[in-house]
Amino acid sequence: MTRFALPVALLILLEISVDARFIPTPSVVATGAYELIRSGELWRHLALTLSRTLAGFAIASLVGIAAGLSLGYYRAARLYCMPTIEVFRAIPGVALLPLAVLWFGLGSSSQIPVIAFAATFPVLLNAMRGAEELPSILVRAGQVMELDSMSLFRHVLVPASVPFIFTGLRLSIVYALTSGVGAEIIAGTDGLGFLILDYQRTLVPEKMFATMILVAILGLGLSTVLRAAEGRLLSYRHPS
Amino acid sequence: MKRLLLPIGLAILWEILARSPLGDPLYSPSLLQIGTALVALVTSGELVTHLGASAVRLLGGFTIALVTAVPIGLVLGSSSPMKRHLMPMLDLMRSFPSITLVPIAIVWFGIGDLAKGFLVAYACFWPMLLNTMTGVEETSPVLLRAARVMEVGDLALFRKILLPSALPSILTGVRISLAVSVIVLIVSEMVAATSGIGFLILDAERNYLTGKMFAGVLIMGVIGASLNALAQWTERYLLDYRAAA
Repeated sequence: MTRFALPVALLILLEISVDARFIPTPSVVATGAYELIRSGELWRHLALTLSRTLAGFAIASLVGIAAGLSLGYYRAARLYCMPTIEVFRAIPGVALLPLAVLWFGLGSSSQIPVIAFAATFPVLLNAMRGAEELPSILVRAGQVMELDSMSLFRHVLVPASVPFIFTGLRLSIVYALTSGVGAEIIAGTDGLGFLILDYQRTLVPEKMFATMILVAILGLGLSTVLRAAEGRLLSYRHPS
Repeated sequence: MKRLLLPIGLAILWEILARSPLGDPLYSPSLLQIGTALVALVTSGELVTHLGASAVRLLGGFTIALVTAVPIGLVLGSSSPMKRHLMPMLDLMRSFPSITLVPIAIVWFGIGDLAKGFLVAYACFWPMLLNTMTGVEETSPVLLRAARVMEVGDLALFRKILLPSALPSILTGVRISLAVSVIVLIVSEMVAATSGIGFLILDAERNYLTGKMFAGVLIMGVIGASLNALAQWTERYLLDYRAAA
């Protein structure tokens, strides 16, 4: 109970002492959230942000896992590709948004590539480490049992790398959401990022704060889903 | 040599596509155009202006976060009553993605350096704080008990035991925070700014100066790679004694 004493005290202090146009007081956020939910304008934007994030994330995980595992397994491929990948990795996804807008136009068609770009590298690098650190005894056991390379990939390499891949995916989803919301803030006409900026520009702080909290909840929710999926997939490792 | 094969191949492929009928100088400028734009940026002094503006914001915010997050993390990590009281609140505040603070930072601090510095500091603060706390929590109890036996004072305990043993974890926090803060900086420079690399890239795109825009993205990559290299070098330099031991 004592753990909540300080936050509650702080919330009360916030409520009575600050200017609600600048700092979110609990009552202002609550009215904003109520307004947003009641008017229903929120759902369209939430659905857009979520679908863009998930689409970019899906592309990123497919590319990242496939490329990462191959790079980790084949030393030669690492030698040729890594320096180039390091340079691309150093470019923040949102820095490519103007280019994406130029090539693909405004909206999802430019935002999804940016999200996918930003989210690819964490999962790629982690999948690569997983494949790199694969115990060679497993590979040799597989070879002794005359597994062809396809089943070696599927039955040895992939399962052994799953914990690493999930570490990467958890990072990736954060990058995906951050880049998505960032792209919507920079050049969006819809989505939660656009909504936050729009409410700021039109001086509706209660809805702005409520939307910001929604993005936070969305991020926590996505991470939780991934964690649950990881727990379920890896449950065989900790038989109860 | 092998390391250069892929970049050279990609560059040649790009050049062929850019010069083929498929290419359009407006959308896919040739390497010559990009190079010319890069040289113009350097010689006109424009690059120094924008690079300087971004660097000041990044370094300022980063330093503020470092000098606040590490001491607070050391204290919080070593005191469980404080952690119990503050953690729920800290958890709440850190779950705000710093990117959503870009619009409100304009309200609070305007569109100048202050707002960008604040955003960078906010983005850097949480990874540093949490990693410092983790590092402190993982300090070997043997060391702590040995220090108590030797009647080491509080300040010396922080400096000689907690800080060194938390250092690897702190440096991990530094690397994470660098990556996040660059994203936040770019977004805020694209939304409302008149200088900085983010502004440079967006402004070039809006004026259809595609070569300049590509040059900006390239510079961004170089900055990111150098920050990464710097963080790695610091890590190796500061943690060298571990390898020797």
